Amino acid sequence: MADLVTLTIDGQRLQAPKGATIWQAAKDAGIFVPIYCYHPKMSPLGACRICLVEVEKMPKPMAACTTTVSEGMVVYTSSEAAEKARAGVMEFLLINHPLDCPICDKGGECDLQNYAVEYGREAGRFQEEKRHLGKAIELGSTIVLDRERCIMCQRCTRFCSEIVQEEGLIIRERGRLAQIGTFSDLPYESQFSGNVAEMCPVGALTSRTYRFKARPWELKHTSSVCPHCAVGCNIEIDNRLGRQVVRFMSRENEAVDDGFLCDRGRYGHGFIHSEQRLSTPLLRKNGRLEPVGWDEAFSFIIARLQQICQQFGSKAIGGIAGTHNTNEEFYLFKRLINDVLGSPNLDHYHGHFSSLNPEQVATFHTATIEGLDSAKLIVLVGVNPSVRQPIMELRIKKALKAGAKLIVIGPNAGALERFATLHLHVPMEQFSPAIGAIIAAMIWRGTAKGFEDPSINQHLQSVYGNFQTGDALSHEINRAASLLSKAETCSILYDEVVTQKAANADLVRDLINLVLAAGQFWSEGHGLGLLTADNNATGVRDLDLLPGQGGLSYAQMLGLKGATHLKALLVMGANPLQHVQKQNKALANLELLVVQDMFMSATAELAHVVLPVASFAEKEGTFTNWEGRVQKVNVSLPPLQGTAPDAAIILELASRLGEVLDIRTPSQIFDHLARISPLYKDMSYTTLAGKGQLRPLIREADEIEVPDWLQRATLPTPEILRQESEEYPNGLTDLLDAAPSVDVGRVRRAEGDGGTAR
Amino acid sequence: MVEESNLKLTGESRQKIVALKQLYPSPRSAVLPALHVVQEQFGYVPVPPMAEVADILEILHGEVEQVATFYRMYHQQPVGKFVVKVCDSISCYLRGSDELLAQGQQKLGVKCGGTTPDGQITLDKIECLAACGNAPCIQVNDEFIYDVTPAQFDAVLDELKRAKKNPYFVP
Repeated sequence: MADLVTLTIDGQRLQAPKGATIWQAAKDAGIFVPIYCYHPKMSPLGACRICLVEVEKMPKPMAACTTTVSEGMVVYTSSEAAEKARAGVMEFLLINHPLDCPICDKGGECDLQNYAVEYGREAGRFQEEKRHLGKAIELGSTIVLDRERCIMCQRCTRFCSEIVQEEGLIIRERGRLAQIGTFSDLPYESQFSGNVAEMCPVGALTSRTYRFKARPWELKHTSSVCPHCAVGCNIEIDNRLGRQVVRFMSRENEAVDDGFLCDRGRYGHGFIHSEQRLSTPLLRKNGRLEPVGWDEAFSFIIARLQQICQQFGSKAIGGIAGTHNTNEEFYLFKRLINDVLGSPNLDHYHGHFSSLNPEQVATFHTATIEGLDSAKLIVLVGVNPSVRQPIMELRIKKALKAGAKLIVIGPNAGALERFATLHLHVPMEQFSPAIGAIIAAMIWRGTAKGFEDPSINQHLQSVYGNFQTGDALSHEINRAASLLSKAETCSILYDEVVTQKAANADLVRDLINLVLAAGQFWSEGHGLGLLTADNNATGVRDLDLLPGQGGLSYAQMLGLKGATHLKALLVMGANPLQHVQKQNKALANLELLVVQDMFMSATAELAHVVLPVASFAEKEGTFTNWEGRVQKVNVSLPPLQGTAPDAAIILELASRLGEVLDIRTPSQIFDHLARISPLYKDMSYTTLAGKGQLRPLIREADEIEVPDWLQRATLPTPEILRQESEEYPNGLTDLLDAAPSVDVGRVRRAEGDGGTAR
Repeated sequence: MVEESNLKLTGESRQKIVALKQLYPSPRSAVLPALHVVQEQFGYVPVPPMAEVADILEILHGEVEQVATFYRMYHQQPVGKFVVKVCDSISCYLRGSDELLAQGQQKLGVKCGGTTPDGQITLDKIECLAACGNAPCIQVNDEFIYDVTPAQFDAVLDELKRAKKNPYFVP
């Protein structure tokens, strides 16, 4: 490649891309250069000088983090001159840094401490009194600042201004007076605040929830995946002495989270040790739920199930799964309901995807998180990531910073609102006609990438072609069409929740037509993306936990579509009562309601048996995030005394029903799934560890048949044609403003018992 | 006296800032001159107008405060009618600026950065005024006085104590 330069670092000849910094080139070659202020996700600053290296022909040491490589450059990272320069920097940094390492949270994992040992002098030569500044200043509800410890690397302030791009931490004053603060001393409140404590190279910024809770050497680190939304940010569960989870830290996965966590995820670990967790099975006796042993609970369930089966047949039994369990648990639950009990009544709470089966849903949704980085246009249809998938907010901001344009269709895009190139204030019930109008306007222009393909052109013409547009469309619709027609790469994201509106039952069909018109249908990484809210809403659909032939749907099992013949209902990790009225006849009339959950819920209150289960940190398995990336969670600590993982409960139920399942462990189950399901083709449980694996695209590139069901469309209505921008009335935005249901409940409950204590 | 939280830019100041914004390819470049407009109106840079400037220039409020507190020429507290700024950079320091400052503090009975109780004079330090050839150098508001001797400084302060307008003003 032409844009590589050759240089020598520590005698090692190597090549690095033009424009790379010495630090990057050294890192890629496995040569370590210390840094404080530099952060790979932010622009170089060169403030701390700890990365000084010697460069031949340069009169003085150079900062490796800001000096770009050039042809023939000769660099020494640990020559006498470099070491001397670094020792000098260390000495200056330590002039005012307090010696409170023994009581500092960072002590033991502090870069300043480590590099002082590595590069510093044995003792400082400064005898003067150290400077005294504010300590333990509460910047907001999450972060505490110690001004004496700060070394002014400005990572935190740059994170706020470059990445979050919202009001946050700033530097006030300058020189020796410089200190971290906020505008006008307002509290620092941000849903990404925890990241500043994680990226602080010293102990200046600490998390209120973790202060004085543990020392780094007591921590056991477990790779896992955040359970609080469908992004599936990679986390490390830090567990003190194998007994208590004290914090979640980011385990950078460029393809998913870019190394950041939102506060909901980072501080959402209190529920694991919540006192309100169920720790014994409960059985309804004389109308009240009483604690019983596991054996009694199981015996009761089996007896009732067998009796119902004999009396009413297996179709009187149903199963409702949640959207938080592992894929392996979903598989076992499906086996239990469909095979062991022989009932087709199986479902979970989900959106409408026209008549697509799970495999097709996976097929048509090609957008990925990483794909956003290269998207030239991002279209959000009824999406509010700030509330529902917070890390997506940062990812989209990153794309916008790189020059992408943003179209918002729908009521409210949260913090992304002010970045929108175009906002179509379309009521949620009108999404489909609005998208139809945009496609019609694109046809009228005829320049979009999708129309270059004759078969797509013909298909779209036949569906939308005889729809006359021209001047009839509003200015906004035309602008959207223009932006979409020009975009080379485009990601169109919509939230599953909007498809739950009856009017949007076919939204996916119209969106696929839009993707076709925009020419993104075969695009890997771009095209359509389905944002879900719960951490494994994608997995439960992939595993087809849906009604079988003649089976009852979620709504039918809950009696929302008329009286039901259901007598027994097994619920795993779900709270269906939150979606129906409190006085639910269908649930009240059941002869057996079994709920597996970590906490009491409205549904559990009605149950005959409540079985306490293990949290995600106490079991292993896989979650699938919204883009279809399968990621592994690992055991950080044993299940809470008295609880059991859902999988163990199902296996026990199956064996007591006379069916010993042969595929039992998470690895057996996943590898089995990889063999039988095209969704997990070429994957295996062992290769998932680390960064996870994206579900392969099933569609072959040359297989471009427009399916029959796409041949219909929601045509634009006259109202949409004339509709100019109108403020969206309040009240209808509720759906999008609701954060993922169960999670928030869990976090709140956990807060009650000291989850966010200082 | 108006509460600081109620301070607002006048329409005229806003217009000036909007006009400044048009002068630069990137609106944020106008932050320095915009802050001068703020200081012109209030005599210092209070917090609420900083937020107004940020909103006009479409940048974060914090970014304006970072700039306003970085440069010494912006006052963060109300100042007296006359601001006497003694250069304390190297040339002036070598030529006795420290002594001038000590002399001023004693004469006015204020600390560096402080204002006399009658609101007449604020005494402060300033970074290099680019007049090293005539060190030590001081500024009275925006006007320069060169080669200042202790006797001269004494006279300047005496004059300012009674002055209605800046006697050193050069149109």
